[in-house]
Amino acid sequence: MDSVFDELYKKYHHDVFQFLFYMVKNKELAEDLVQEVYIRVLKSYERFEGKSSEKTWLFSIARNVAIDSFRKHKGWKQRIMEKFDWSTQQVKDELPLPEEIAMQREEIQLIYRCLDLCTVDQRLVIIMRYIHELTITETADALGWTESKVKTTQHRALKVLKKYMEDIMEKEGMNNEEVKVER
Amino acid sequence: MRKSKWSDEQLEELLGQMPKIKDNRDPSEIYQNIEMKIGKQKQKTWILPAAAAAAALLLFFILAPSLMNWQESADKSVEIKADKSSSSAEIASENNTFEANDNKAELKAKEEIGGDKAEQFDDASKNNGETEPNDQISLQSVSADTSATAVYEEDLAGKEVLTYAIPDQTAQNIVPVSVLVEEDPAKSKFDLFEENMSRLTEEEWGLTDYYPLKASFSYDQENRTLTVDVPEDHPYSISSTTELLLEKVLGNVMHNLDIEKVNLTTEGHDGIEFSHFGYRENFVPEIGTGNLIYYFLYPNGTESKPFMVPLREKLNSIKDALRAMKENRVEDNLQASIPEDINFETEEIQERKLLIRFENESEIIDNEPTLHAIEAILLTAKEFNFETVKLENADVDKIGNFDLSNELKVPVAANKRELLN
Repeated sequence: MDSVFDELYKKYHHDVFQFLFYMVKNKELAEDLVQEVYIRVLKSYERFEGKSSEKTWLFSIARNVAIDSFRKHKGWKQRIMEKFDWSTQQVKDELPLPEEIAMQREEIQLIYRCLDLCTVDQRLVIIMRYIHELTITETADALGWTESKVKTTQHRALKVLKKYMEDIMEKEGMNNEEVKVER
Repeated sequence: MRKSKWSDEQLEELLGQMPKIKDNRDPSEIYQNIEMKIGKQKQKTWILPAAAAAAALLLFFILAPSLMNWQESADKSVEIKADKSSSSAEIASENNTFEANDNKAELKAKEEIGGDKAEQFDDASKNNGETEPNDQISLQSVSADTSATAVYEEDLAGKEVLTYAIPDQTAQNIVPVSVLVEEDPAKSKFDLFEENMSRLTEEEWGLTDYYPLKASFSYDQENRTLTVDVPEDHPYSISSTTELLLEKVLGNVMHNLDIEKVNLTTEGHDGIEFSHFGYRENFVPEIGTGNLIYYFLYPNGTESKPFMVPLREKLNSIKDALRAMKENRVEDNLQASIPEDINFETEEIQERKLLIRFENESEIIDNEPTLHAIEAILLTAKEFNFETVKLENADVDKIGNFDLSNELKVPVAANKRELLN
């Protein structure tokens, strides 16, 4: 096995995989994409200048792979589907939850469902900042943004996420707690 | 609106509690997949350009021939344009076919004459092979297109010779063309002449379409008088040229058929009103002074099998005549019938027998120009009332069908051509 691959696998594989999974919300697709990340890394590893940390470099590559995947999958098929099938959005929401998520609390599930209602940029920041617990500097480095852009995007993302969660709670009557409170 | 259920901090906390998601695959499995993909991508990088190159090559091979054809046809059209003034390829090929016919006729004639002649021919070609072993090309051309153009005595078995005077394409010269037809005891020579007029293929021969004449004929054998009756709208008085041509042609017909007098009528009434010659009731040919000597006419710039065209010249002797035949007659569009580099002495050895002795420097070999030169000499000799010609000091014993070891008989008529059936 390639020593570079070996090293990267040990250090970052699960981080990269998880990041990709939360971005695309599909385990199989994430498996393919993580391979693609390795391919890109191995091809350009010599060009890695050490300007940024290995970790942020990998995240930036993973982010590019994820965005490319969105473009690919949001290709002709889905665009046409969206045009003609207004229920696509709902169908997407009702995708079965992965085991790991299904086992969690309702609120966690709710966050998970609301994640892809945010924009890609917002999602990137939420996943990097809060799930992977990267610092603002690391996130800015990985995304190639300024730190202030990370901060404003992060602020906005939390707001939007909260709003979506509340909306869904209202619609679906997930108000068990409220009822309890009233009684 | 209700108050927000979660504060930012709560939400951040919740997000931090998001479950860890793990890739359950074995790293070696992942590495294998990666390796496979890298291999595939490498393949892909050369497969696509290779496919494009193959497609381009295929296109090239499909398009190249048609492009080349296009260019060729363009070239051809240029050639044809260039040729238009002098001659067209079509007529040249027509001439070829008619030559081929003639060769066949020649073969037929040989068969009729019998084995003797054929044997002689074989001998001759053997001799040629011995004397000129290097000159393969000329030998080939001999067997291919060296055939005599005139009518000779041996052609006559059971045949009648009909000679038609046909104007050439520029109406400058009258070409006497002879055809052989089966003899028919029930018909006079004039009948045959009239009958076969329509079978002439003048244009195919490179001449002007002139026959059949737009006139009806009646021939009085006893008085040897021919009556030519033309319709009111006859084409012979369009210009002085057409009138002159008719005069020449009729003169020739009279000469060939031994006619003494021609009466001219228009739809049964005496006389023809010519626009230039005026009114004429009959036609008596002028008896020309001088002798006919033969030149070559190559219609449409063809290069083989010329017509032998006689011109009337006042000359004192055959010697002068043969000297005159070495010169081109540009004004008449005729070419010298004896090559300039052939020199000879002429001598009348007996009455009606001519001896021609070639000089040593003159190259007398068995090829087409030499053969035609000999025919022109024989035809001219005939006009000077010679019956045979002996050629001496040639480089070969045989030229075409002429056996030079014997005296050559003068031809019966010039320019033998085949009739279409």
